[in-house]
Amino acid sequence: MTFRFWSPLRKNHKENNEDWVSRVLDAALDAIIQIDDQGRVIEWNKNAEVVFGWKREEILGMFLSETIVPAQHREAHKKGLRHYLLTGEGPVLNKRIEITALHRSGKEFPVELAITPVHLAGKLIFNAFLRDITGHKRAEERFRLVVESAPNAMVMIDQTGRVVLVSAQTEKLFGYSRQELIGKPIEMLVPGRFRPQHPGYRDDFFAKPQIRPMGAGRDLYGLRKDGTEVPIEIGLNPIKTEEGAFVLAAVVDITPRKAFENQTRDFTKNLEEQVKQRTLEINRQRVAALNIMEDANEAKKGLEKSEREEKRRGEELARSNKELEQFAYVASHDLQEPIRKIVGFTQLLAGDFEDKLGHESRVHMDFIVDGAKRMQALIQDLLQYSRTGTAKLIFRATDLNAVVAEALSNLELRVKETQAEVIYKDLPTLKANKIFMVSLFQNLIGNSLKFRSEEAPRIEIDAKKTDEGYEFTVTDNGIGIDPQFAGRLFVIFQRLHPKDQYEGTGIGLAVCKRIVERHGGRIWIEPGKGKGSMFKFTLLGR
Amino acid sequence: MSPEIIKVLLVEDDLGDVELVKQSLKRSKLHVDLDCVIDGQECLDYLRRVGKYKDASKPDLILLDLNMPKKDGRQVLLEIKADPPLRRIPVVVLTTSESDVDILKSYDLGANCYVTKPVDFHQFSKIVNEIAEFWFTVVKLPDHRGA
Repeated sequence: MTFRFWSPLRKNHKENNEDWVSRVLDAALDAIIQIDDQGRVIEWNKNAEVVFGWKREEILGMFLSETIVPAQHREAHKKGLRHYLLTGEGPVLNKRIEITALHRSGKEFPVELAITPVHLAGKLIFNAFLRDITGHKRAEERFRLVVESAPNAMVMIDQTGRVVLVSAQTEKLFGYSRQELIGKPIEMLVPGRFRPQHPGYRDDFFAKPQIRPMGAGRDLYGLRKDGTEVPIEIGLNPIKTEEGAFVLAAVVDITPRKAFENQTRDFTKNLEEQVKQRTLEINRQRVAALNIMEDANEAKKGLEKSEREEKRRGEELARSNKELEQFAYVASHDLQEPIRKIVGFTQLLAGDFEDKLGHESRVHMDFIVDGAKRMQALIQDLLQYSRTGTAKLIFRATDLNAVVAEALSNLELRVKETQAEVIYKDLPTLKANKIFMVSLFQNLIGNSLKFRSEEAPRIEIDAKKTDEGYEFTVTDNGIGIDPQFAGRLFVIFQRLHPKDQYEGTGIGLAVCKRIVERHGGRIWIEPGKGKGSMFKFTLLGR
Repeated sequence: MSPEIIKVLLVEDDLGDVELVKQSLKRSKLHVDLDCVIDGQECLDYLRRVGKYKDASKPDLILLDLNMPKKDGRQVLLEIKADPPLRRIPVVVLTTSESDVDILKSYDLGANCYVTKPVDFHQFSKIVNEIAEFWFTVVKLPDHRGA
């Protein structure tokens, strides 16, 4: 029967072109086996001999289930055959299946198999095409192991986006078991918000497959079974197989890296902020320093300028001082010589002619002598006044209580004569020239003693602190000063009273003014309480 | 003490002052022989008996003005005090100057005293006499006249 099937083919060929058919069958890359409806081998090509170790002559007529079907599949094989014969249904028919086969040597090996039932002249026969896929399997296993042993999660999908392979790391990363993932769309691992675009990206990749990182420039996230997301990085590897194109995705959990990046970014940001702040600070300081330098330069320039001016003024002053000294000397010596002659010889004459001169002549001679003496006093006062303005002053901490005491000691005789009372206490100590201070108080007190009223002079000296130093008040109970003369009061040689009433050249207050001004203060008079005068002056509180 | 004649050399360019000193001494109880020279150079010539002063005798006291033509009083003072035979002669600086500089300088140069001439003649006369009295009755001077 089998021959009937095969005979027409082979026999015909044997008769007509037997060699050609034989050659076709034998040249086929696959093992080609024909069995009848009982499962007996009716054809066995050359490759089948190689794959299973059975010669054609040996196996023809033998049951397949007793030769190449391993023991564990024999029952299923028989059942399947019976089931097909009864129902015409055969789930394993007309498709590519993988199954374990048995070599004649007893060794089992994987084969790829496709079985096609053929009805031929009322007879049912099965054509089977088999291929030893041991090599494939080994490669596949190796591939699986490689994928499995990868330190990161590996997911392989086919062109339709279904998961075909996952590694243990994938299970760990996403929380799904292998079984839950295989055959499912990869989009189940993509967060909802990215899901709509994903198939598009996928198609793009399959259209132009190349090894590349996924989602360049985008932050990628994976969706876990528990609904949480995990930051990931994905490397895409296109894999071409006979079964079509696949994509192997290497998925890396970048949570630690993200954390590190965030930390680094925070740190960097912090650092940048610090650098910025510090830079600002430095800039501020530099600006401040520059300002200071500028100010310093300005000040230096100013100083140099003022130093030059100071020097020029100093030279001028030195020259004028020199001239003044010259003048002072002339005044103190040469101008007085003639005066002394006038006085001396007038007095000599008056003595010589004492008996011969009339009263009038003696009065005239007295006028000569007085005038000359007055001239001498003026010269000396002028000299004193000019020295007050130009003398080099040394300023030291000076106790003004001691100063007033010294002034009073110098005026002792007149104080006693007039029975004057001078009241002062708690005067400050300040930086001043002591000699000038004594002169100042002596002149003021002397002034009060000179212009006394009929009462015994009572002079009060007070000091009160001001912002800049002190304000002093010297009040007396004397004859007072007519306010209309206040302006002339401090001008040299200005006298408010006739010479015969009060002696003196009118130098005292002018000297006071100079002394006060050389100490950075000013002097003025104020209307006193009742009669008497009130002098006020200020001194810097240095 | 028998009245002795005291020899005073006045170094003064101002004849008015010379006259005033003369008048003052004239009224003195002391017997003063006053010689006058009108500048510093004359003074030194006198003291060293140079030229017209070869017969001059050494004075007991010198009244020296400071400001004079040619050699002034300061220079004279310096030379006298640097000259051993002359240095013992008391020198009284008698001047109008009240300048501190002049006073200090004079004493530094070895002046025996410094006196400012008063304007009033009576006071002037009094001072001149006091000077003379002081130096010839109060102060013990080295006896150089016999030497």
